[in-house]
Amino acid sequence: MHIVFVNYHHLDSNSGIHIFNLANQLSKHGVTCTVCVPDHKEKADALGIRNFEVQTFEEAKRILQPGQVNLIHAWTPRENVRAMTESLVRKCGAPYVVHLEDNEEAILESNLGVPVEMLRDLPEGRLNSLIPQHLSHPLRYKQFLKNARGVTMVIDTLQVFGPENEAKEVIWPAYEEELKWHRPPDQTLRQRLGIAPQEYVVVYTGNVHNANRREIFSLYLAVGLLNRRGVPTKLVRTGTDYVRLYDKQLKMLDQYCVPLGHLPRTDLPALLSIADALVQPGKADAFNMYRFPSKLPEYLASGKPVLLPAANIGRFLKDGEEAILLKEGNALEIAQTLEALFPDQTRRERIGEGGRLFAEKHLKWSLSAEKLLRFYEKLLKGKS
Amino acid sequence: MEHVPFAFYLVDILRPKVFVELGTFYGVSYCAFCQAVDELKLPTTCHAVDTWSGDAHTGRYDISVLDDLRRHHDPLYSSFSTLHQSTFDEAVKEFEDGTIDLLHIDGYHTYEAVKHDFETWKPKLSRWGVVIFHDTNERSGDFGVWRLLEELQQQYPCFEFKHGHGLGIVAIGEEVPPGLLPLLNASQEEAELIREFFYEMGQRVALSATLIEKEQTEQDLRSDLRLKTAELERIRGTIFFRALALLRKLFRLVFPEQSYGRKLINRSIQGMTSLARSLLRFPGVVRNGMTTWRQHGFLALFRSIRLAFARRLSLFFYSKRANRLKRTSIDGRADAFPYQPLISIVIPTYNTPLPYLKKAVQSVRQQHYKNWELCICDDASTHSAIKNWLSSIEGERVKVIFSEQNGGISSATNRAVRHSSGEFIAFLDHDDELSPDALSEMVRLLNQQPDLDVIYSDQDKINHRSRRSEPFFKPDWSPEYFRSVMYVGHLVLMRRSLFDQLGGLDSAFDGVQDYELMLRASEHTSRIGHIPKVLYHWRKIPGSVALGLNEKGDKIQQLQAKAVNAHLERTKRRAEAFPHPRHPHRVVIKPKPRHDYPKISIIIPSKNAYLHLSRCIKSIFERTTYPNYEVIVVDNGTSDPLTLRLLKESPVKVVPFNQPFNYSQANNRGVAAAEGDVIVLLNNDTEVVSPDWLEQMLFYLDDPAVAIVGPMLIYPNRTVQHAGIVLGLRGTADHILRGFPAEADGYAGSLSCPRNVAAVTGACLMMRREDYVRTGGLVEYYGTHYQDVDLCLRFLTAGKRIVYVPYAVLLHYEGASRGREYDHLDRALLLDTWGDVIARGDPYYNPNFLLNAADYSIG
Repeated sequence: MHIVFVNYHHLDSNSGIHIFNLANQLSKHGVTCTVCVPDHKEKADALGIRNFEVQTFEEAKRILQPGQVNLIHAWTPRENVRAMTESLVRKCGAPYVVHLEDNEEAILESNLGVPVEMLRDLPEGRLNSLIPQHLSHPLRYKQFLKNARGVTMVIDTLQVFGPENEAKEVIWPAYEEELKWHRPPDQTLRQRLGIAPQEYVVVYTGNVHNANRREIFSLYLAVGLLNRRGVPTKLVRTGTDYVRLYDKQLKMLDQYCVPLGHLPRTDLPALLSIADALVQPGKADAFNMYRFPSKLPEYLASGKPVLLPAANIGRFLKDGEEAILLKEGNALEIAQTLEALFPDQTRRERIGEGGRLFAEKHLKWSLSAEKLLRFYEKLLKGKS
Repeated sequence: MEHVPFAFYLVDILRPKVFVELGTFYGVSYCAFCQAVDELKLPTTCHAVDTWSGDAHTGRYDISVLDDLRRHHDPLYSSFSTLHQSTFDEAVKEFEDGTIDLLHIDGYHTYEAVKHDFETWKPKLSRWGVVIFHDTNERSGDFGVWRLLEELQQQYPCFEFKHGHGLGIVAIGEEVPPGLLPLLNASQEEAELIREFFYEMGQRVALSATLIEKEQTEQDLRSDLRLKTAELERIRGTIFFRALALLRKLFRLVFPEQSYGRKLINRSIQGMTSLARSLLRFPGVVRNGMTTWRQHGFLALFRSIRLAFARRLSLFFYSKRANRLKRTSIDGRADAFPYQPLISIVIPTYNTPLPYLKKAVQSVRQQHYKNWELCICDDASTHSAIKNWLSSIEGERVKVIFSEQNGGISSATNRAVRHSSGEFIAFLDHDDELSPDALSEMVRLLNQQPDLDVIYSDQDKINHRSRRSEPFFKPDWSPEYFRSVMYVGHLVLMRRSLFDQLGGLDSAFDGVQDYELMLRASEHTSRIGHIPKVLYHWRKIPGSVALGLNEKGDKIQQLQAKAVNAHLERTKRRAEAFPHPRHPHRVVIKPKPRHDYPKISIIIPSKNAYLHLSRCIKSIFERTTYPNYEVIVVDNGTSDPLTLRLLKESPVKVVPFNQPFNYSQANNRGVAAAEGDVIVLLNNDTEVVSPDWLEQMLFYLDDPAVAIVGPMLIYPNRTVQHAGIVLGLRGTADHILRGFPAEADGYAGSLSCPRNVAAVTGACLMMRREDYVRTGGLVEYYGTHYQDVDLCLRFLTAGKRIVYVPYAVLLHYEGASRGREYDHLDRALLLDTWGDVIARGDPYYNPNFLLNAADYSIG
C-alpha cells in the first residue's frame, strides 16, 4: 500500500509532526508513505529518524506516476493542499481522503476579519483574490470534501463539516513515547531559568497567532492577577508570537513571564517537568470545539495537572480526576483555579496521574496509526 | 470667552501661588481662572483689580456690574480670591515684590497704558513669573498691546494666540516654568497646531454658548406666546376683531387659496416668522447659560454648551442624511422570511388633514413586507372629503369602517382592531408615516425571536413637508423607565391575542391610551423587543406632542400619572405617581409607607479619613428616615486618633480588616458580618442628601426581577457624578452624563427618571444579601476599578434588572479615598471576562449613540 500525504506546511509544524509520526508508524505495518510539502523538505530531518520519503510539491508532481499510489491523504482542505491533491489525483488516478484538524471557517474569519457568510456573498473573482493559499476557500473546500473518498479528523465534532454519507474516522493526535514526557522535575533547569523556590510555575508551549491570541492573553493576565494577589507565579513560554499579545500599558506582565522562544522538541519534556500546572486556556467556543491542540497529549503524558477547556478532548476527560475543565476559560477562572490548586500538592499529583493514565491508554501514535490503517484498508477494499 | 480653555490649561501647567488680573470687567476670564484653581484644588490666591467704572475702550458702566460679579464670585471663590475695587497703581502697593506667578493684564489697552501697567507690576513678579496680555491682535484705533508684545518678544520667550482679540503669553521671570517650555519651544509647525487646537476649543465654547442662549430664548418666547394667546382670545371677542374678521373674508375673496398672490404672501409671512423665532430665542438662552454657570460652575456650563452644540450639529447632519436617503432602499429579502404573519395596521381617523392621511396610507402601501392589511376606522369625521377619500380606497387589503358617532381615539382603534384579522396589530397614527422597512424589520425580529409579544422601534419627527428631524433613539425594554416616561412611542406591534386578553384600549385614558395599554401589556409579558432603527416618523403639527411637550396641556400629564397609579395598584406596588414638577411628560413615583422594614446593612470600607468618614456617618444617622438599618465600617487599619475616637463613639459595627487594602475584599468582609437581608455598599467619601434614600432604592429592590439599585450621586457643585453606567464607553464602561447639572432632564428623562441601566457604581449600591453571597460578592482580583461593573454584569447576563434611581441622592467627593491612578490590569480583567458582552452593546444605550462621548451624542 502506498499512501501520499499532502501537507500545507513544513513538517516541523504541528500538523507535520502528526504526519511524521503516523507515517513512521504506518511504515512499521508495511505501508509505503510519501509526504509532500510545499517547500523546505529538509526540515523533516530535525524531527528524528524517518522511514518514508519527503518530496516537495513540484518533485511529487514530476516523480509520482499513475498506478504507483493507492491513496492520497490531503492534510486539511486548505487551498495549496487542495490544488496539489487535485493535481495528483488527475495524474495518478488515485482517490483521496481529507484530514480535518480545525474549524476552517473560524480560522478564515479570524485571519481575514470578515464573516464567512459575507465572503460567500462576494463575486467569485474578488473572493478568489482574497483567500490566501494557506487557508481554506469558503466555497471550494466544501466541494473538495464532497469529492473525497473519506474524511479523517482530529476530533469528532468536526464531522459537521464533512458530507453526511461519507466514510469518516477520528484520529486523535498523540505523544511520542520515546521522548519520555513523564519524568521528575528538572531542578537545574528551574534554577537556570531564574525561578525562585517559592514561585509556582505554569508552562505553555506553543505559538501565538490571531486565532488564539485572546486566550493566551487570558493566561498571561491570570498569572499577572495571581502575582498581584500575592501568589508568586511564573509563566514559562516556548514558541513564537506572530501577533502582539498586549500593549505597553500592560508591560508589567512581562516580569511574570520567562519567554524561551522556539525550542527543539526534545527539550520540551524537561520543561514540562518543572511545571506545577499546565494550562491550555480558552473556552468551549466555535474555535476550541473543533480542534485538538497537539500539545495536550504531551501535557497529559507529563503527569502534571492540566487545565483545559471543556471542549474537544476535554469532553472525554473526567473533571477533577484526569484534568481540570475550564468553563469560561478566561483569566479570572484560570487564576481562581490555580490559586486553589497550587497549595494542594496531593490534588495536583492525583489529577496529573489521572491524566497520564488517560494519555497512556488513548493517546499513543501506535494506536492512532493502527486505527488509520484500518480506515485506509476499509476505503480501498470498498473501491475494489 | 475664546481663551477660556487656554486659561484652564495655563493654570494647570503653572499652578501659580499668586494670580492677579488687572482689568476684570464682567469677570468672564477671572472666574474661569478661579474655577480652574478650584477644580484643580490648588493653594493659589487670586486677586482681581478693577475700578468697575469702565474706560474709553469698554465704555462707562455702573456698579451693578461688580454687584453681579460678586453674586456669582463670592459664594464660590471668596475663600481664595479677592476683588480689589481700586486703580492698578493703588493696588500694586498691596503686593510684595517677587510674589506674583501669573499676571493677566487686560486694562486700558493703549500702548502707553499697558506699558505703564506692565512696568509698574513687573517687580511684583516671581522668578517664574508669567504675564498674559489680552487684545494683542486688536490694532484698530489707539489699541497698542500688540506693540508692547512685539517689544517684549525681543527680550523674553513669548507665545501668541491670534484668535479672538489675541492673547500673548510672556515668560518674564528669571526661570521659565517647566510646564510652559513645550509651548514656548514649539516649532513653527507645532505652534500652529497648538493655536489651531485652542482656536477650535475656543470656537466651540463661543458657538455653543450662542446655541444655549438661543434655546433659552425660545423657551421664554413660548411662555410669552401662551400669555399672548390668552390675550388673543380676549381680543377675539371685541368689536374691532370682528371687523378684522370681515376684512379677512374680503382678503380671501381677493386672494383665493391657490392664487399666486396668496402663495407669495404666505411665503413671506413664513420666512419672517422663522426669522423672528430665531432672533427671539437669543436672550433666554443667555439667561439659561448664566444660571448654569452660577449654580454649577464653568465646567458644567462648558459641558452643557458642548452637548448642546454637538447635539445640534449631529441632529443637523441626521436631518441632512435622513432626508437625502429618502425612502428609496428596497429590502429584497422581505419575502424570504420563513415566518410571515399577517399584520393588521390600524389607523383611527378624525378630521385628519387629508394630505397627511394620504401620506400615512401611502407609507403602508410602500412596505417591503407584503403580508399586511390596513384597517381604518373613521371616528365620525365632519369633513366629507375624508369620508369620500376613505370610501375610494377600500379594497381587498384596505378595510374602512365609519362610526356614526364620535367615540374617541380608543373606541375607534378598538373598532378597527375588531374588523382586522392579523396575528399581529400595528398601531399607526393618522398623520404619521411608517418607514418602508418598518414591517419587514419587525418580521425579521419575529423570525429571530418568535415568542415576542410586543415590538417597538426608534422614531424621528417629520414636518408638514415630511422633512425628517429629531430622532429618538430608545433603550431596549426598560420597565422601570417606562413607568416614568412614555418612551415606546406610537409604532407598537402587538400580538393580537395579547391585545384581546387586555381588552383593547381604554377610552378613559384617551390622550395617553397607547401608554396605558403598554403599561397593562407589561403586566402580562416581558417578551418585548426593540429595533434600534428609525421605523416611524411622527408628524409635528400644532396640537401634537411631537411639536412641543406642552401642546396637549396639563390634562395629558394628569392622565399619564393616573395610568401609572392604576398600574401600580394592579401590580400591588405601594407607591404613588404624580407629574414631575419640573419636566413635562415625566412621572414621579413616590413609595408609600411600607408594611415591613427589612434590616439594611450599610457597609463602609475605610481607613483614617476622618473628615470623609465623619461626614458620611453623620449624614446617615442625621438624615436617614428608614427605621431599621445598621452601619458596618470595615476598618483597614485606622491609626489616626480622631478617626479611632469617631469609630468608638459612633453607633457603628467595626469589622477589622488588617490586610493590604482591596476594595472587593473589604466589602466582602463587611457583608459577611452583616445582619441585614439587604445590603448597601457605600464609599466613605459620600454624604446622604435625600432622607428617604433607602426607601426609594428599596422600593425598586422589592421587585424580585431587580437585582441591584443605584442612586444619583452628585458633586458638591450639584453636577452629576453618577447616573448609571453605560457599557462600551471608553472601551469598557463609564458613567453617563458626568458633570451635567443634576436637575436637568437628561436625554428623554435619563437623568430625571428612574431607568434601567447595565450597571451602577459601587460607591453606593443596594442589593439583597442573599444574592451577594450566592454569587461570591465582589471579585477580589480587581484592584481598584470595575468590580462593581463585574458584579452588575453577572446579574444582567442572568436576566436580572439593574435600576438607577434619581430620587435617592447622595453627594460623592469622588476619588478622595482611592486616588486617580487608572489600573490597566483591572481594565484588562474586565474586558477578558466581559469583552463579548460589552462588544454586543449596552441594551439600555442605543447603538446609534457614539461611545466616545458619554452624553447621548449621535454620529
